[in-house]
Amino acid sequence: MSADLTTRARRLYGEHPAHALVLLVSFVPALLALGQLLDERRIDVAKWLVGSAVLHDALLLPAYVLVDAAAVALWRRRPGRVAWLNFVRIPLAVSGMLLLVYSPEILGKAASFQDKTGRSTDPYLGHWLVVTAILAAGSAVWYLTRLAVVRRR
Amino acid sequence: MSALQALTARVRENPPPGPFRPGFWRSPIRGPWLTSVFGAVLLVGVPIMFATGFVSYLAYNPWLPGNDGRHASGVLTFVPFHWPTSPSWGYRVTQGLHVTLGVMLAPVLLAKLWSVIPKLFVWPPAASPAHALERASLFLLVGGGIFTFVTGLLNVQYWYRFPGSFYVLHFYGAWVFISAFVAHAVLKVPHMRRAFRERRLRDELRVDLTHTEPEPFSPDGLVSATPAAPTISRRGALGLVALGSASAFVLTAPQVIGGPVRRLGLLAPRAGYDTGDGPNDFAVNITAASAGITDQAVADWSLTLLGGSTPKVITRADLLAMELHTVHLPIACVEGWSTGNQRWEGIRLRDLARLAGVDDPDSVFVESLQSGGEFGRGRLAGNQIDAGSSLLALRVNGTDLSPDHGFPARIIVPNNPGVRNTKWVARMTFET
Repeated sequence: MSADLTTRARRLYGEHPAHALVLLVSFVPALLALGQLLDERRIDVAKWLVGSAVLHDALLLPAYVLVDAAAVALWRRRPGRVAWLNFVRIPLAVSGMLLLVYSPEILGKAASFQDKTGRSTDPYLGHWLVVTAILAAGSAVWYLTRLAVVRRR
Repeated sequence: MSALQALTARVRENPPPGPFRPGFWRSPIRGPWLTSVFGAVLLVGVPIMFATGFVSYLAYNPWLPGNDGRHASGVLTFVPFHWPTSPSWGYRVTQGLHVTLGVMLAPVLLAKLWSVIPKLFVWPPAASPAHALERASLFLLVGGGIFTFVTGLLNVQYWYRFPGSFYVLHFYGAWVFISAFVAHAVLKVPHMRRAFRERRLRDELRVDLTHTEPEPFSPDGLVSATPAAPTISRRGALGLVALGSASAFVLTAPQVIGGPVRRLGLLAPRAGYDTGDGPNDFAVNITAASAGITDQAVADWSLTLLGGSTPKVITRADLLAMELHTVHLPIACVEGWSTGNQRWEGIRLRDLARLAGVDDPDSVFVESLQSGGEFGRGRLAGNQIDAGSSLLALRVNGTDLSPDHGFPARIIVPNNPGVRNTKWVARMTFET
């Protein structure tokens, strides 16, 4: 392709023509697959596809960003001798992530769990609390160690 | 200047309030370097996920009639090789890797999405045809990606409220995701390489909070125009995500590794509990009660072998009087969990084929007493019938199968997805 043509394509399209080629080629398998997906319960599948992006971008992310901002604001008011902020938000974030990933078990929503495994989901809430307690305890020990080091100086 | 151009310029220069304004996003560590690190992890992890997932599709022998209702759908279901029966632990490894890695990548995916969130609110929404096309692709990337992860995570926890068959949704969702992923990688890897050239990982890992500075600002980039004072270093943020992945590993992998470690997998669906040490005390997938296996059906049970000139009907006593073979094989489930090797005793499938009067079968159609369900019936391929350690098992670990493990008889085939090791087998049709 001549340099002049490329420049003109750039002005009209906004990028090098290869950019369009890459994307258009990638749409072929994606659209074939979308066709198969929508051949299930069409409306519900569309809801799930759009919903998963919307739930993440408009609900989950703003929610945890707000919780984090609140923690930061609280910390700025009382920063302490050793900054405690990350000793709180790191175990909180990991615990929250585990809750999100394993929520059907932890919240007892996994309706078929009993039929499939012969066991109940009841222990999982306790297990998650134990894991959360371990994370919090690890963080607390680390924080107190740091505090002790700072105080001794 | 035309009226239209004037209007466009006005819209462009006046973004709506909130996240569309450049001053809204203030994280001082957000920038191309941090995004590149998460991107690099996904660049390795996602192809492994896709490859192990596709391998799992092949393990179901989708090319046999009835095994995949949509196999004729075309290029996305190509079968490059027929699924082998060795190594016997193969599916245990590939599917254990698939599910464990999937849970481990969840925090990386969340972090990656957080790192690029300002791009969702970029103003104007489409600055050029190229931009519009790329955003359409990004919708497929994010929508398809979250969809694939969510369906996978829900399935391994038995939360079945999918808008269709899990297999169809997860398989084709993954195709949407990987297509957009490859395009995204092709377009973004040059940016990633530049970011790593300008800021080496080794050096960045030495930078503590007090020395953390925002990356150089550029308009329309990821770096905040008005960064707040940092509250965590970049290495701290990476450490947070790494801790998330490590926790996911510790809490999930024990359901694959098994042994004494199994108790540690506190959140894994098939770990974190005492399995007991009886001969039938290994994990069950679908109890006899929920599969609708009644005492009466078991009492009346006999095995029907079809495919030869006349049907053969055999009782369990007849089967036990035949030559029994012993094999040591695991159960490895599509949900990622597996058991260690169990000692199975039963009749070789190839002996049953001969008994049915079929010399060299291409496949066998196995039907269970089980009522309903996607996997109450299925086909095994010729190589699986031929394998010397493929059995119709009657006993396990020195005793009769328990009802939950498929009494009176079940299939056990090396390197076979658990759900294809059909339980409560009632009828087998050998086909040529």
